[in-house]
Amino acid sequence: MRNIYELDDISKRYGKIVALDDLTLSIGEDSTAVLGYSGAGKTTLLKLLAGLERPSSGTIRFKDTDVTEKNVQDLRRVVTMLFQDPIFFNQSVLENVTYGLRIRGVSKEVAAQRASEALASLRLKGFENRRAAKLSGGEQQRVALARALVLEPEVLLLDEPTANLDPANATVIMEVIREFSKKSLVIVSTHNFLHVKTLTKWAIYLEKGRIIETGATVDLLDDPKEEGTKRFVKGLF
Amino acid sequence: MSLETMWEGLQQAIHLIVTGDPALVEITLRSLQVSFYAILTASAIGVPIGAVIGLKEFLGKRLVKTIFTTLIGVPTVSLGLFLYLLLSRSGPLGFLQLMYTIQGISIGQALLVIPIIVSFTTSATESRDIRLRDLARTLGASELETSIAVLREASSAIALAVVAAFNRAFAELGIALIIGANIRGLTRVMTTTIALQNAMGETALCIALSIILLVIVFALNILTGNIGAIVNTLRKDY
Repeated sequence: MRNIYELDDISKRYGKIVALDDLTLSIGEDSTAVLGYSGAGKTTLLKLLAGLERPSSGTIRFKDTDVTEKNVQDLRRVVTMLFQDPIFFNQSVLENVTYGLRIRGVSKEVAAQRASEALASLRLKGFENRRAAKLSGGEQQRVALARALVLEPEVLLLDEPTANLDPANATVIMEVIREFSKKSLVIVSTHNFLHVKTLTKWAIYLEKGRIIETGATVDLLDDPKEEGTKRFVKGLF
Repeated sequence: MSLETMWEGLQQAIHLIVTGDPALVEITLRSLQVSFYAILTASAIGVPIGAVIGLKEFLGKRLVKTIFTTLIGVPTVSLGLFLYLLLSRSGPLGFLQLMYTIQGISIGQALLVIPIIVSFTTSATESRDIRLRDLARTLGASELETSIAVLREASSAIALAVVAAFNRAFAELGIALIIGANIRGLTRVMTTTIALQNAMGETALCIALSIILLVIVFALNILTGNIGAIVNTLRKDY
């Protein structure tokens, strides 16, 4: 199995705060979970993988191409991130979902057609002309997912995609993500172990910006090796 | 001036407005023209500068912002004097022959309001949710496309800045007086007429211009207050 991402001695600091500390990591073609307590550095790691942040030191390679400083724009064209709290342009649902396609030069008609299909797959048929910012939390997250999926990214990064959602919305979202993960790489940060088990094959456990343990998801959750991972899995501080 | 004279002047002024006095119309249109070109120029320069300051991080950013904020308060007569020294025949830019022209006044007014547009645009772009940039980028936008997306989100605040700048340019006196010199049929604008022609007995005309000036400024203020709602209406708010 070839590596999609290779991170070498990655550190990320915000002033005096060390968010990630000397991470060396490979991510292959299997869907991967990034686990850890709040503040462990999960979102920072996802942002680095998305090309939204640059590391303070170290190198990131995506499919053998160095994307640490250069080629970031190329990376962003094939990697899309879904944020925990969805954010929208002050536009309609359709305009939000077609944005990524339009800047890629897709015609308005084709973009609208693809957006409608993506919305329908998330049970949002007929939502095209609604104002995105005025939808409910669950609807917003589904629109945000449609906006990401319509781009057919090679990698989909998900930061707590079902946090604060009711079970019905969470189920719809996870169904669509699971389907998508069959053809593309999905890297997800979530505290929902059930989702982690059903969606991912590989898991990384972070603590205070450091990798504590990596391994097959089932092994890491059911039979963790490190003390920190054991505490986390048992829900202890 | 007695109350009776004032009342007489007001009646004559209303008569001038109602009958569309040619001098009144000419001066009003010239004022609008001068300030319109000033705002067009200032917006073309100020919005991109404000956007760059608002969107980019660079050394000395705070100082640059402070300089533009300070320049908002420059007295118009001081700027007029500075421009006079530059543009007068013996000045370094005298060869441009902009003294006593409406182009000269427009340039002066543009310089006056550029700091307003820059500061407001900076503030408007900075106040947008920082995550909007991440959103645009993660959807594949280039840095330019990201900036355009953020600017579009800040458009109502930027429109407000432009309206406020027009207000300031339209009502200023110092630059129009020093650079234009209130030449009849050439550089006479509303504020210079009000300031100078009253002493020459044209009280009714001055009152009429004051009324029109106030009405336009008032209308602009109403527009400014409702600009967010107007933009939302134009966007078909569902």
